[in-house]
Amino acid sequence: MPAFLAWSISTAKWRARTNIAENEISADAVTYDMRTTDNTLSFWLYDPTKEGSLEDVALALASVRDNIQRLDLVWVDQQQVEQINLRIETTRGETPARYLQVNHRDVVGIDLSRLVALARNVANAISNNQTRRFTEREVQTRFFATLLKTS
Amino acid sequence: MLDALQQPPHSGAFLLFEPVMGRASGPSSQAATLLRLRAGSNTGAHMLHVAPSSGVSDMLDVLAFLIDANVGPRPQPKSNTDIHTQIVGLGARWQQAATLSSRFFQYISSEDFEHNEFSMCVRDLHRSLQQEPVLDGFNHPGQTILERLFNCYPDAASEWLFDKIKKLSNPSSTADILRLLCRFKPHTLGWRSEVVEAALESPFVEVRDAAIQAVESWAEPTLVSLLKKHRDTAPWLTQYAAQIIRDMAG
Repeated sequence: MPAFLAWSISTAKWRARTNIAENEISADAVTYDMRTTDNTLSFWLYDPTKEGSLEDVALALASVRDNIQRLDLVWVDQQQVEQINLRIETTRGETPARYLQVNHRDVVGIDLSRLVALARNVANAISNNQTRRFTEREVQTRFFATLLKTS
Repeated sequence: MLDALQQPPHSGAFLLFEPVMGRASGPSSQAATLLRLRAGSNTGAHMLHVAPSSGVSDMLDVLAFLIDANVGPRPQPKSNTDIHTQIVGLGARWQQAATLSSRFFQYISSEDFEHNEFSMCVRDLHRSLQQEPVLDGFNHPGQTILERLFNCYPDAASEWLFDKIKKLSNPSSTADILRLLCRFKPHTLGWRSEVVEAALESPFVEVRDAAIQAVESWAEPTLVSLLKKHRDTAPWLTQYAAQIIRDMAG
């Protein structure tokens, strides 16, 4: 089974077709969700063979937010990211859930053409339903369940 | 001074007038709240608060404050003649200050002031949306501005937002505003129902998505029943609505 790289997006921005055709990629979505720092984007490893792997990604991301709100995840094939000549580096993730910190990955060396290629991968992933929306209630429940488990 | 009020907040002249003038609510109260907020966000801004129980001496403090703010501190007297001159001068300044305070009060009570302040807030809100994306779970500067709009001008703000949803222009910014709006409970339940209903009817998925999120965050049975009646053309939104209905039932 391939490994995936997951991160949070604003699904509605990717699915909206305001002033663009059906097969085009929304620039609003890219400028919202693909804001790089040091030409790097932050991802979390998602292994579909491991139970609760996606929930772990949600927890890692939700734990550094200001408020509990819904959380949209998308995941792209790690191999496809490597195919566009982007480096994937293991770095310690910023999350208070220490056991999840090792699951963090940085995708490094994103120039404009690679950003477009990566955006295509994301758009394809969304078309293939490689997305999951955790509702506010779900985020809250999982968050507190983990807090109770680890305290 | 009246001209200066139309400029960004500056130090020295923010006053709460309504208790002194015997008005505890209405436009002056809203304006005072706004001024308090604006003054609070600027370093060096001074403010005098005159409580509802304020008497003549408090009013004199207000006037003295105005004198200092607009005429400057008085010099140290050196002789009896100096003192006499200053008393006469002070009387004249107080008269000037009283006129000034009266004009100031008239201005902050006027519809012009409300209109200007409201438009300024809306402009600030749009600017904040351009500068920073609204991301679920993260604070956004637009939220404070939106809250201020709904606290100070509930009727104008609710009408403005409802029009925005109905007008079908700028769906992305409308959705962003709705997503900020669902972080607090604005206006009345009746209005919130109307907003959700109108937003669910929008041809834009972003606006409908924000409407469902509003139902999720406000978590009110009346709104959930609106969602139950809703049939969406986008499968992912149908699924989201079903999730929310399930969450609310649980």
